[in-house]
Amino acid sequence: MKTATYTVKNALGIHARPAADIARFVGKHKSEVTLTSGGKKASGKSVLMLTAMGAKKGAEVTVTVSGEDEDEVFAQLDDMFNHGFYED
Amino acid sequence: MLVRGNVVVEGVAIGNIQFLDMDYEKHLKSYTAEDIEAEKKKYNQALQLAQKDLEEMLESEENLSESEKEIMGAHQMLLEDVAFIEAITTYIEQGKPATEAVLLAVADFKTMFDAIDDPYLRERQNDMVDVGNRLLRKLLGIPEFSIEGDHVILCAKDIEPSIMAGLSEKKVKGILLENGSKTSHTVIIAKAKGFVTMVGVEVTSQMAAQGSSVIVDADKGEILLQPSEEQMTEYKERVEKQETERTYLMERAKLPACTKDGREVLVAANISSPEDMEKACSFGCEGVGLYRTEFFFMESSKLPSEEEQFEAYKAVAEQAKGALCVIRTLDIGGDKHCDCLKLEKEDNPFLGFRAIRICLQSKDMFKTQLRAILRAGVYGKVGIMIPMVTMLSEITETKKLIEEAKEELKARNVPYGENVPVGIMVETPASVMMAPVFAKYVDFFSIGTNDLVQYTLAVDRGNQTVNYLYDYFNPAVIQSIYQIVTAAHEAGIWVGMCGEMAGDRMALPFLLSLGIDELSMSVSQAPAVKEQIRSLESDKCNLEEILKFSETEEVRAYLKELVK
Repeated sequence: MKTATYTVKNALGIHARPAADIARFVGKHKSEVTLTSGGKKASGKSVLMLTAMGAKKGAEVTVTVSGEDEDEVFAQLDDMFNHGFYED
Repeated sequence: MLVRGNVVVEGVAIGNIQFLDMDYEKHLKSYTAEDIEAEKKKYNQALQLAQKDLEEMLESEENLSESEKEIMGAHQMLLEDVAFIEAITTYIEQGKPATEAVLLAVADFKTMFDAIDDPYLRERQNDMVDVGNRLLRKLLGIPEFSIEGDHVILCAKDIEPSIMAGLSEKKVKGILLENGSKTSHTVIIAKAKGFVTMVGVEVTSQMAAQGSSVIVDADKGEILLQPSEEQMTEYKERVEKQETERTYLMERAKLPACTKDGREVLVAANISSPEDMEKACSFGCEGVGLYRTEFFFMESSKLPSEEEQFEAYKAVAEQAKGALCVIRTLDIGGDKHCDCLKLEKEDNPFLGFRAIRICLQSKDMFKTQLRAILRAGVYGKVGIMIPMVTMLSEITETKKLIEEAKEELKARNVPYGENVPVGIMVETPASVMMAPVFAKYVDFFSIGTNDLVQYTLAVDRGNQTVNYLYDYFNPAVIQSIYQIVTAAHEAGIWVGMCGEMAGDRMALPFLLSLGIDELSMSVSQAPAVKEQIRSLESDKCNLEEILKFSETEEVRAYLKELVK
């Protein structure tokens, strides 16, 4: 299992587009991905739950990845968070 | 038989009436639930069928606009969302029938979204209901709706946006809805598709048989059931004439509105959301003369955030491609209510707490809107327009707040348009009298004839007993308009008109002679008005003469001669 905590960097936070990007990516892989922010928990596969976390710029988000392809999945998510979902 | 309704999209249509049965209640009552495994299986089948539907709709791109495709895409994502699927499955496993499980899951997500301050999620609530309904139709065996024949007048209690989006313009000619406000999501799509549309219409299958002939006259707001042969002949001619005219006008919509003697008048659009811009551009509107931002506030239970407003204003400014977009600051109160502002009921709402009066009392809310507009100024040309001004201090105070808003943006390091023009709606007798003074403080005037007539003639147009007095050809109104335009031009600022009068063909010779700079109107009127401007001379109306008249009928008779 791999886990890390990030601060949301992009101006719009985890809104529809990044949420869809995350869900699409996670959906194609085997690992279980969970994101938590402000006491709310979301499956990495659900756009609905990811958006519903309401993680704005500056919010702390903890990402947990576990499964056979966890290294690859974690690396990609780590990159997305570190680059503010390539938005700004 | 004649039935009346409220017109949303004008025009005439003839066709066969088709009722759209979406009575889920009835079907739900006769649904027989089986054991958990069977219900799960039924849900999975329904899910597959629904997925196939959406895929097919997206593939047959024929009649889908960009915004429609976006809605369909969102539906796909919701339908397949793991959390949604899990919620439904869990309810089934607890012993609920598949139908109830879908309804419960939809309700859960709706409540969850309610609690979050995100415009995307709030929008998604309606899509959630649409998606749930699609699953229900599959579970209940309600056939997906299909259009039979080529000239269909669709009649329903209400129509889901997704279904409206899927309707073919070639087959459907008219829409009659029992519910439906003039601004609902579904009605916006109907408008964009150009269906002749009326709401508040009560036609049941007892009044007209499925497939029987019906005439929709949305110029008059009338529906003729079982029309006579004479009526059919008469209306067939009108429909043909309308088609020919429409094609001709649309071909010429983008030509400039230039009078025979070479004076160009700007024809702009009245809009209430960024979605209106696609049509505004194709109908030849040059920019926006009136963006009614109140719909933003009326549709929501919370005050829209700066970000939300900014996105909308930016979208409008970008689509106008360099033409000016005049954004009217919140004009609420009077006949327009909204949940997000707790306004007291008043005895005289039109003379009470409304528009700029509210804004200057709620400075934070006002500055939020001003900041959003200023920021949109980076992406195109925008203007700020203050409604219902009666006193100079309302202008100076607003300008002070605009400066504060700029300072706040500067402090946040957010870019904004430096030279955003500030104008006022001239729509109260006080602002007419004071026009020469106000003109020195603003960059433009826009004459709001609807309120100007109401306040000048002291008549409530909604009051059936006195609304015959409501008339913009009343000499008092004609004199007021003359004074406003003169004052503006003497001060060297431009003046436009954004009330209903701006789209009235009979008023044109008068407005042209006055030298009005801009006319802003409902998008669908623009091609015809532009064409008429091209057929007129700019000085056909003798101002001295028209200003001498003391009776409305004299004004009307004089102008009627000119547009013959």
